[in-house]
Amino acid sequence: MKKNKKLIILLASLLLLAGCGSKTSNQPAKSTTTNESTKNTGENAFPTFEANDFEGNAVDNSLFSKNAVTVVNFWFNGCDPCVEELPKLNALNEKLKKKGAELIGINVEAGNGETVLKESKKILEKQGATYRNLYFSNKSSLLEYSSKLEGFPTTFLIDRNGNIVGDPILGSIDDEDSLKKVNQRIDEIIAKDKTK
Amino acid sequence: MDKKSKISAIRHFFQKRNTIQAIATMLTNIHLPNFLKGTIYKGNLKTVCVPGLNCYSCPGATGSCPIGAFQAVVGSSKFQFSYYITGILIFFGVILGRFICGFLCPFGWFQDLLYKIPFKKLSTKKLKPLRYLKYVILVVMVCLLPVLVTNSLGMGRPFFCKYICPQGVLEGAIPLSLASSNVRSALGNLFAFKGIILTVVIVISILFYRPFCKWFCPLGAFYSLFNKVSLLHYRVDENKCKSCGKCAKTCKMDVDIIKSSTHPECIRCGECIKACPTNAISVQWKLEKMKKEGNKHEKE
Repeated sequence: MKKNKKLIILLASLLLLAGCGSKTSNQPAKSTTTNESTKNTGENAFPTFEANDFEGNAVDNSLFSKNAVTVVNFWFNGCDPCVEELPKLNALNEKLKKKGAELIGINVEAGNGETVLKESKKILEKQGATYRNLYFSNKSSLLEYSSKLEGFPTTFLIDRNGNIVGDPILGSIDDEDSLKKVNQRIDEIIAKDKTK
Repeated sequence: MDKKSKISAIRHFFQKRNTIQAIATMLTNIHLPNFLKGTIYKGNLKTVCVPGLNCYSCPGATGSCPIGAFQAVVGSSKFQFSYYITGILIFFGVILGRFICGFLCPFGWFQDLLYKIPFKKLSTKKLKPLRYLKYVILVVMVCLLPVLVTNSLGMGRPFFCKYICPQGVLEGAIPLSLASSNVRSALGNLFAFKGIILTVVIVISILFYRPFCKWFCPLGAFYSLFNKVSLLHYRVDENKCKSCGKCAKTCKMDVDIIKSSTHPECIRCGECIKACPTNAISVQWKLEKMKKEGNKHEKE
């Protein structure tokens, strides 16, 4: 009996250990740097950042102001599901362009040197992804931000003011269902943008 | 230490197996607050593998899973083989053999606990051929498929982790999805499929003793190859043995230690040591043996 009791306590503690739910937000910590032109320090603001696109042009948060929605997809070269979804994302971007929206990729490892950047470009080319992609240096706020992401790929929907709208999408957007949901969310943000 | 007190110390150690397994599981998953946060530790220690089967994606995980890490490396487009992880595995195997399964593996402990649930218990003696399945899983799912089945960019998938490993669901997907709504919304058919695998493993672990270790675990399969050479090993003193057969009867891994003290299925759980009425079975370090033999030679 004593043995059974011990066992029940053990099992219960194991279940608790595995089952502790929490309301803690899992959104990555917001960056605190505010020395750049777009000073959006709101609750859901995408971190203030400086990066480069794959052509070498400097890019910062001002890119969000050009579109009603910017879809930001975090990925890296060795991530199989990220690479697999690139063609789907490219097709999505073609549709978005007509709506006044844009999809950009942020490769979290392409800033590690010319070789990695070249490999990233090769992957994009092979997968037929022509949309804009960014890389960042070790000093960028995006380094810490991306290291706190729950997994890859993670995709954010960002409005004209640089705010993250809704929850980030964890995992690939590769089936009809998830694509439909994302499109719906994008349309809602565009509709809101028009009423302003 | 004289011989008698050494034997009682060894017996005492094996009686504490449950506690040692609990401590090992704790140390393997040291970052407990991460269970509440729903995040994974990604620091420097993650470049090192733990000895047991313990998912990298467990919020508490201290290090990487050797089986997961191996597949991640061989599956990448840059490598065909992982010398680093194979080296770590050989190191663990040469020192401890399947003692790791018996004492250090969190999933082994999980199955031990499930088997303690009072319910009908079935023998696995007639299911011995299933033991070979774990070697097939090791070769096909862990070594071959991640290298051979690749996309156009030469990238493979961690087949065992992705499609089989129940420890990944138990330690990774379940706690992470409970703590994070983002992870929850990412769950799909694969999670359902692996949830079924985990459920089946749980149910059969209540009925049979350690079915996953016996039939499916690629890590156990790997370590089993080292039972013959591992520094930690069992020895049967033929002068003391009365051939009463109590050791074979008590062994839940279906091993007859008298026939083979280095049997690949032996997880060094020590049940036979406890059962032996004449203290004929003992644990030894090969180094000790070598030292003794060396001393003998010197004297001669």
